[in-house]
Amino acid sequence: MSTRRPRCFVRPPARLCGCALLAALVFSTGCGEDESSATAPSGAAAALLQYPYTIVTTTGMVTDIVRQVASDKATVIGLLGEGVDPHLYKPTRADVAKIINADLIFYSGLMLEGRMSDTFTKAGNRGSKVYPVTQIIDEKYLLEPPDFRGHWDPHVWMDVSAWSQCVQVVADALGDFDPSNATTYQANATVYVAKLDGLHAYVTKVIASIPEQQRVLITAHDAFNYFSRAYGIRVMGVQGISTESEAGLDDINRIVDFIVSDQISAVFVESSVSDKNVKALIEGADAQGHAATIGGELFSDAMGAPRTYEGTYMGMLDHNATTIARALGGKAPPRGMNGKLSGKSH
Amino acid sequence: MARINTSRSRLRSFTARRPKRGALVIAAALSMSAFTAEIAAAPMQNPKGGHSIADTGFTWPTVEQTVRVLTLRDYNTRIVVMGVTCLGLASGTVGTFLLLRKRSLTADALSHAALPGIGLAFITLVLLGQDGKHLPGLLAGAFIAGCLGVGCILIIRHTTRLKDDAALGIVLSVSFGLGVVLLTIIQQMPVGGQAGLQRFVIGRAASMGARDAWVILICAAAVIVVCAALFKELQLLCFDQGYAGAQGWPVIRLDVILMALVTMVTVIALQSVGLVLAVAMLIIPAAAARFWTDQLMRMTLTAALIGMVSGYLGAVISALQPRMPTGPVIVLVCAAGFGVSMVAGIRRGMVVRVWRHWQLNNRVAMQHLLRAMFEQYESGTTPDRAFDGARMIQPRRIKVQFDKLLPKRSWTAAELRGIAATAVRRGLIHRNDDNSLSLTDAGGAQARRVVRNHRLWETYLIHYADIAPSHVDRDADQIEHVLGRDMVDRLERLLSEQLPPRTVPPSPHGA
Amino acid sequence: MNWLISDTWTIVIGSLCAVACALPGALLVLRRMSMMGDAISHTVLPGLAIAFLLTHSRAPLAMFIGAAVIGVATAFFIQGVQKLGKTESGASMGIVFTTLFAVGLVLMRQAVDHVDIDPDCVLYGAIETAGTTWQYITLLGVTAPRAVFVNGGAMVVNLVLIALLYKEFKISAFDPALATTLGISATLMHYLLMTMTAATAVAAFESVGSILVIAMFIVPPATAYLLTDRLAVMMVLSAVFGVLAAVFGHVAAIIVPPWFGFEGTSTAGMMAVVAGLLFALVWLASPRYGVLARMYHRLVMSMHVLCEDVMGLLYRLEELTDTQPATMPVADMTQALVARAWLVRRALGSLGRQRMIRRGDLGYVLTDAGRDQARQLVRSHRLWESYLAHYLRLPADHLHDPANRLEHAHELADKVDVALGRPETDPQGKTIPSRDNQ
Repeated sequence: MSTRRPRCFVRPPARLCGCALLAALVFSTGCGEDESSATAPSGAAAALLQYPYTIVTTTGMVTDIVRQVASDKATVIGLLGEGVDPHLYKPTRADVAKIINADLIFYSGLMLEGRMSDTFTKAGNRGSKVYPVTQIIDEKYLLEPPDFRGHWDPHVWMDVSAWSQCVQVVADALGDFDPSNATTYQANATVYVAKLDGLHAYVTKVIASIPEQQRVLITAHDAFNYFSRAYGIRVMGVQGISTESEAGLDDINRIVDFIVSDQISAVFVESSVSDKNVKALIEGADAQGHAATIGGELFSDAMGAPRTYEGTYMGMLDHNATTIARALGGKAPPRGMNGKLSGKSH
Repeated sequence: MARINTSRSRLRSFTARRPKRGALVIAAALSMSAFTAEIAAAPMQNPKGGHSIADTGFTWPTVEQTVRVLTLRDYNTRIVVMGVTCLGLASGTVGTFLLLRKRSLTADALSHAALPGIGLAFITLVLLGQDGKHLPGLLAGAFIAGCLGVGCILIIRHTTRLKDDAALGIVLSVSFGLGVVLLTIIQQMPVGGQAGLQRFVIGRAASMGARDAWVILICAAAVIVVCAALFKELQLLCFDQGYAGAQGWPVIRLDVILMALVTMVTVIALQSVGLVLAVAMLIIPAAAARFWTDQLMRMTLTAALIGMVSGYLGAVISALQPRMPTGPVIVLVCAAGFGVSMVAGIRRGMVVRVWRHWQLNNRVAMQHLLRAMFEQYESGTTPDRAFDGARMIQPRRIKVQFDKLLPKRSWTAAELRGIAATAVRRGLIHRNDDNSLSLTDAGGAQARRVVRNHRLWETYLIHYADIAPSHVDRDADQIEHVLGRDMVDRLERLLSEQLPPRTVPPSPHGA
Repeated sequence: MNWLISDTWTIVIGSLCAVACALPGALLVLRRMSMMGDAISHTVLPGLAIAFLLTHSRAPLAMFIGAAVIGVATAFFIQGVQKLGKTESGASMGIVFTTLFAVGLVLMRQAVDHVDIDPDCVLYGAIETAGTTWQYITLLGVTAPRAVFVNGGAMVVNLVLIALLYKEFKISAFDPALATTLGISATLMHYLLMTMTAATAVAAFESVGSILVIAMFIVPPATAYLLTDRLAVMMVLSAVFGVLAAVFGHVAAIIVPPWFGFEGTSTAGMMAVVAGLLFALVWLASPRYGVLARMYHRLVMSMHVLCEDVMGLLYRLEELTDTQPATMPVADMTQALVARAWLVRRALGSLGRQRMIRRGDLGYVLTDAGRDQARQLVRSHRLWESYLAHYLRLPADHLHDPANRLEHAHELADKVDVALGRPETDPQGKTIPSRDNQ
């Protein structure tokens, strides 16, 4: 579990601008060596710290936490835009440059970022300050397939109470890096956690307002297991967790039968998955005389458009909970918890 | 396939998730609610996770379930079966021509070539202020890009000396690269909804809707009409493009029509059943049909039939067993059909080829034996006068010792005994009491014919083909077995100055 | 642009990968199996699923071994289907990769549906991160990114194998039957090539991702094939094109997107695109097989033919009107020759410069030198007509067009003359002019 422990080394700045191929080649071997020798204790770095320092994050959910906690002390660069599928993310050269120049790196962890997790781990091993934010969550709490222990379901952010634990990781890490502002970070974290607690309460409330019989979330793929457990709503995904996963006819038929027998009124599409299998469910139910509708578009792996409320973690969860509750006959305000949702029905 | 699961997973599988197939509807519902209740009851300590983690055991479907599926009582089963069957029909038909044009992998290339089209369509839609993930818009982009890709393939094919595979490969890899370049740029655009764009237009067989099925049906009808109308032209294009061109057929236009059909089938298949099935359906049925017939019309029909049957069977299997992804299962059924055809196909199947080879060997060996006997008769080592030059009178009276035959050819004693036994069974050779062999009347006649063919051919080769006499024997051996009656007659006519008719000529090697 | 050390490494890794792929790629293109890289990129899925089921681990090493085993198996399956079923190579690839891919998808759904084992997620590396400092390892006293060793190793192995077995590879690629008679097992060489391909592909997938590999197997060798007929030269050229694509691809990935206001884009994708652009360039400009070269030759040829036609036309006019010199306006000429006006004008210009024709009062007339030339031409035309009528028994009204095409073969006309016994008139009864002026 070494990869889930915080790293406390400082990576020296690698400012290299050799252009000629050969010269750079020769140069590079030398550079690799002085890199490993120059690990300094964190305090020294803090003394020289210039504000705002640079933090690189991966998914929008992680970016949000870091933005809230660091406030104006750091420039936070999210590598994955709000609408990017983290499973398949591959960095560009510009991203690599950002990672190299970053003072701190936060990523989600649990293999959400695929091979990039591996890259981050290696970067951590070589002295960069790299933190997977999910490291704080108790392993017992994480969902894993019974056959394959340790291969946790990475969609932790679907449970607000679990995700709010990750805020502490960020606050502690920033405090270590910049001890002079540690209290600010802790205070920011407390504020954000309080907001998240409010969100958690809201989601719990609106989901609970759905009639017992209707409390079933049928979606395109399996990303809502934490949501299910945290808010007491059954979930059924048509296809598995991987993008290559594909459903069979029997799976579709069973869900259709279930929709009809339990008179489920709405099913949901996801922004990052084709809506076809969900539409097939509706057609199937319709053929049996039960009219189900598409309850709306949920954000699972990716968030809404940038610079909108849905493009933030809170907006995303608010949108999901509100959409689900309203479509399944629960009570929720049309514009969500804070009245900030655009109210666009997809 | 279901048996592949580890026994461990079967042990751990949730009993509550395993519905009794009898009352499927209620059982499924009950088991799911029971299971979720289990999770809800222990929210924080249940590490088992995903509620829909497979019950991966294998259970035979009940009769009721089977009947329900086979009679297509479920709406989705009905749609999917209809869609994939029609797709099998269309793909099998077009695939036959593709296979013969050695362009089987076109669908694969097209699926990659569509990527930049999707990317550009998204960018265009966003710039126009629309929602980027507008399915018809993206499909139009994919289709246009596919057409451009096919155009590039045809251009490369017709203007360079590169072969079809390289033309496909270049288009595939470059447009794949371009697609990734565009997608990476799209990821930086300040709009939502980029996630999953790459696979957004790619469908899944199981989630086919009524509209998809109708589109496939129309597409299949179009394919059949075009192929039937242009059958002769396409046939010529496939078998002898050079000849077709020389005869003034519009070769390039025909090629374009064929590729347009392929593009249509591929794009429609991609968006309704997904990549693997779209590619497989264009290749496997046609390749399987090749084992059953050499005739194009029959091959096309066989391929269409194999495509339809595997579509149907695969869909049914995936409706009978849980967690059987429809598209891949159909591909596996197709592959099984290919395997069976490869082994058992009556035209080019392995069994037939082995059998033919074995038969030919047998016939050759038998002729060798007869010739060896004949030469033994001729060689004069037998003092008996029954052998009269080229004429056979009472060949039975001559006996040939077994060990005299052995050095005649490079066969082992066991092989020779085996061939002799077969010859005895066929009544060509008589085994005397002292274990020596004699030709029967029938055997004598046949031996005469064989030797005659052999020597005619040898003479022909020596006189007309300038082959050194020492090399002739071997060549003649190979060819005499396929010499037909009329060929022998012709040779006779050609060589009539040297040879009295209807006799066995002397060996050109000299006695 | 701020050049980083990792940029240099990216180019080095891309170049090594390109060369490693281009060497077997050249043979694959010749053997019509250039889609191998793509086929293997599809078949790694079942390898990943099986490796995961066996090891319960998604560590890169386990995934790599699973993919490598299935990659080599793919090569063998393809060869098996091709040999046993006598199926065409593209179709066997398609059959094998779709089947294995389907096996992978079924396995995934049946057994590992709740773990993401997408190749993009667990196997494919990214060339952009492969060159960063945290990927450094030290091997044999050299510190460099791991991908340098992986791709460099693949390149060296391929280079050594091809250098050692160059003759064998060459003969069995061009003429398997000859290889067998020379005592080289074409089958063995084929399996060796397939194994090299599979191993190279999977090694490169793991370090630089799939796009680059698929492209580098095909595009540089295909480009080189347009320039040369010799295998060794083709291999060297494909390596050169691969390296060029790597260098310019990375540079383009950095500098092109900012023109449109974006930060940058996928280096591997850009390398593939640049490889494609290089192909297009060579396709256009190759001196021997290039489109431009061929268009140029065709244009020169048709201009030559047109010039001769103009002279023939003027000569016949003189014959017909019995005047010397006879004048013909340009418009009439264009109409009579059924050619584009600008081409005719060019032809007239060129003939004028050669002093074959000169401008008359109403159009152009033949000079004396031109008349000599034109006579040869008309002679040739009528001789060919006689020849076609005599030997091929073409009817009189079918003689003109083929003779029109053949008349430009002046050298052969003398032989035709002799063969026909020096005829006086052609089948239409027109006088065949003599070779020399009389």
